[in-house]
Amino acid sequence: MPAPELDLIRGTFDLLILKTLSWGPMHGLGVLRWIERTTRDQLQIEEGALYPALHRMEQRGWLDAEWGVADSGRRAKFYQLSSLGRERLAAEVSRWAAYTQAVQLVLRAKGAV
Amino acid sequence: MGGVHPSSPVGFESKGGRVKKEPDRWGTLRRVFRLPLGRKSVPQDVDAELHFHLEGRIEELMARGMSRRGAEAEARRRFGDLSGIRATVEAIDHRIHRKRSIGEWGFSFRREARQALRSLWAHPGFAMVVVTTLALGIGASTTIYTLLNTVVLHPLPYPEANRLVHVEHPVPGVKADAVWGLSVAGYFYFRGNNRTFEDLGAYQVSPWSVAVGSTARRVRGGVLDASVLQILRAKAAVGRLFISGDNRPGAPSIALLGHDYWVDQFGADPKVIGRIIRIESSPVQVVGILADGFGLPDQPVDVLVPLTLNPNAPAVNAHWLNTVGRLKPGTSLAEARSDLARLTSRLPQMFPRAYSDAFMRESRFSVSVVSLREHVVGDVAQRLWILSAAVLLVLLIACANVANIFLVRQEHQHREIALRTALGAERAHLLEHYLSESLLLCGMAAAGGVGLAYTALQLLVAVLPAAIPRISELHLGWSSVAFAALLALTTGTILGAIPALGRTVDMGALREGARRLTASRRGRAVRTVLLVGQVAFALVLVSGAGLMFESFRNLRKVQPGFDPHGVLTFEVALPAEPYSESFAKVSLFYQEFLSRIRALAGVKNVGATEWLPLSAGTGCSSVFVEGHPLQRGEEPPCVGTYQIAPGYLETMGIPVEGSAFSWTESDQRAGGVVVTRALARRLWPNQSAIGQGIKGNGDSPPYYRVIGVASDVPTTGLDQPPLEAVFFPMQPMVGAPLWMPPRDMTVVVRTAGVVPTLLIGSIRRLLTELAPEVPLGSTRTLEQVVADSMIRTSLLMSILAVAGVLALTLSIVGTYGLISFIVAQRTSEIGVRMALGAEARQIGRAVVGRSVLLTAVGGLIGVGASLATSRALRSFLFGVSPTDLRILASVLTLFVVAGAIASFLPARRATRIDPTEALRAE
Repeated sequence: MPAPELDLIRGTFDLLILKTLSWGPMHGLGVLRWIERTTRDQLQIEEGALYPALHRMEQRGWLDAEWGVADSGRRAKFYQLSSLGRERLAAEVSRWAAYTQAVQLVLRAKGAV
Repeated sequence: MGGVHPSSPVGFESKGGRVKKEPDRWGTLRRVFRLPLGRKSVPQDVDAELHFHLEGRIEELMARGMSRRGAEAEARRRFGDLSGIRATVEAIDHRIHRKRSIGEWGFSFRREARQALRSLWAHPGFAMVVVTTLALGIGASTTIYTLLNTVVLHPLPYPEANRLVHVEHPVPGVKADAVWGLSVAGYFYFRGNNRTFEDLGAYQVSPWSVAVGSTARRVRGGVLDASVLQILRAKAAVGRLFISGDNRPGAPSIALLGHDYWVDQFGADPKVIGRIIRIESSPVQVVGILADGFGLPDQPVDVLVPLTLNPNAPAVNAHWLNTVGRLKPGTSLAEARSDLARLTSRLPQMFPRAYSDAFMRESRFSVSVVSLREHVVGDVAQRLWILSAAVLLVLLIACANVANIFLVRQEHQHREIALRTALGAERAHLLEHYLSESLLLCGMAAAGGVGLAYTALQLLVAVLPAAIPRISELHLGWSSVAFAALLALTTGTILGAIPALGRTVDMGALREGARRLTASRRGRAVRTVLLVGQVAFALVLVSGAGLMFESFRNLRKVQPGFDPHGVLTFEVALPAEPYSESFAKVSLFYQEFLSRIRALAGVKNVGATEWLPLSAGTGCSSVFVEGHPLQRGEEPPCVGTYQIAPGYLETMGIPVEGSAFSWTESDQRAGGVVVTRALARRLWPNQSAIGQGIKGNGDSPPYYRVIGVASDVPTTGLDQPPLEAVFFPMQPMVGAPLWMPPRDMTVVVRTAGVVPTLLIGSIRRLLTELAPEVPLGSTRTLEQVVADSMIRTSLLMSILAVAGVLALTLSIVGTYGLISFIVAQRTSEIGVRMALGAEARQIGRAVVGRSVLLTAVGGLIGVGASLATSRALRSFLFGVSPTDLRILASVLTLFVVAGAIASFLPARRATRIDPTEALRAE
């Protein structure tokens, strides 16, 4: 098990969940695995924190939830993006882009003198 | 990117396609899975979700070679604070659930309401009948509720009004329902020695003429002890109130003004404080303005002056003080009553000259303490409760009717319900369906009812006598609208629940051509009961209206003893200065005034009197009869004594045996008087009254001579015994003083060829020329005076009549509906009968007979109920017994005939049933 290298920046967890769910309905563990796999385990996530985030987004109407049956044959709660969630994702993505661009500008700036 | 990692254990592909792009179907799916709907399922769901996560991780870790235990520990570690997270998630889910259930309820109500609207639109007749019926019921109830709320339930406008009481002396020995005020001595004795009152206060109200500058106005005046203002917790808007020193004999004359009067007369000018106004010609200084809305318990007042009483004056048996009191906190009425009863029993001992034991015994002198509210609204309250009972009956009848219509309709929808049930609709959904429909209907009815109530209240304010307390405040307020809404909600809920409750859906209805007779037998029984009850209620109302109508007719038949047509009456009040001491001046004024009126075109005759028959009573005075010395302990007869201006009796059209006095005789102080026939009968039975001697003050010659006997006139009402009175001339005979110069008189003017009220203008001009300071008021025609005296009866009659007509109409509609339904339901049976040779006439007769039977049964129950309840009307009836069988019998007949008429159309329909058609349909 490779050691995680980066802490998850606060506020970006929602963005990751929304983006992950944009590929289709998933249960919580599925979301987590997806993120681990795409980041090649570089992000350190406290797994439990995923659930309050999911439920809060459900409350806000960004996600719809339903019970279904997972491949393992067990009952699992599936989440999928609502149209509101889709709009939210678009907004978060462009915010993130603006943010990283700004950070990049600072990092790449040459000395001012 | 894209796709799912092949080794992912999460297989949403299998079902993702089904749900992904169709958010609308989520609701349906949720229902199929029966999910996060239940509040109770939240903890289980959260547990299941978290458990799934941990299990998944554990399996994953074990697949990598960990032991079960190690995997569990590692999964837990990675997860973090399990119980904290569980709590957070549960809290969020509870919030979600709450929001969602409200949203769903609103959604399904909107959907059902839309559906209901569509179905009502398709059956506009049904909707119209239901809404109209309920609107009438709700409108009538709201009107009466508003009336009750304003007049009776509304608390008196004083702080802690529940501690306010009215104190008076019932004297059943004098007259059955006679009630006296307190005497001055008694008042001070009660005030000084009671243990239960914070304080007592005496007041008197009377109309005054008040002059400001050169214009005089008739105002509502009040004389009161400073304690009254204390007891009623009055506040001054400007200036001060009375204080205890203001009523000492010899204190400067001061006055308080009522708020409305201040605004009207002085344009709310605060500089009015300190100004001098003249009350009955004597100058009085204004010291304060009462706060807006303050009035005495019985009536609003314009001007108040302190009541000057001398506590040390010798006790006199004269009871004229209106007394209010405020109980000490925590004291009950009964305690106050026994407290004052104790003091009353000591009056003879304290004031032997005023209260003899014989007087106490014979008059059965006692004391009563009633709550002030009861004192103010007592009689009105009783009438209003009768009205509200009547209106409640109308509402019940309306509901019964609508319930019947609902049931009939439901019978028609029977197949639809069975179908819905078969397709999985639950009882709760059916209930939702019916509730949405009935609430929608009741909502429309409430809107209509509020509109009706608004109109009715405006009418009532115009029609009701102004003497009803707070009648001017009557308007449709928010509480009335809320009341209507509550009624609508209640009736809507009940009506909506009727079809859905207590019935098992008969799946047999789904079978082609299934006979529904068995299924609907119970329904028909319910409907029959509803109809019978409705007829019974309606009969109670109509017979009440009948009793009132009979009373009114009896009143109308009473000959008033005078000719009320074409007579104008109005009141004139001469100021105290210079008239209060001089009979001659008063007489001269009226002689001049009346002769000028007589000279007007269209005036046939004119006269004046201190008291007009059928107006409020003025009490009585003792008279002494020549040749009838009083026996020991005998009280002199107490009769009406009124000074009249010559011409009064002729103008009224009251026939006189003998003669009436003329102005010449009056001026010569010849001492001729006229007595009423009722008095002549009482004082001189079996002999002629003419030439007999009688006088008012003292039992010694000279006596006034009776020169005429006037035929009987009524006292305060046509249903009262005839007046016993002596009519004195304007000026007293030498040696036989009268009481006070008759400054305030009612003038009567008989007209010929002109409308009486058109004379008011020229008469007012005459009066202004003659004496600009003298006010003129209460202009009415004599016919109006008579009508006003009957208002008690006529008002109750009209309202009961309206309620009765409503009730009768509703029950005819109800009968028609039920009989039509029965005919429709039995079409095939009737067809069979006709096929077997029954004649159309027989069939028709059977249908009508059925209707007559139902109304007769309901009617008979109603007769019983009437007999039991009409006692409540007793005090409003005249010349008819509350259990008058003739009226009940005619009302019952009316209902049976109405029942027969109501069944006419359905009967005709029954006779036209074509047997072959009916049987084929079967």
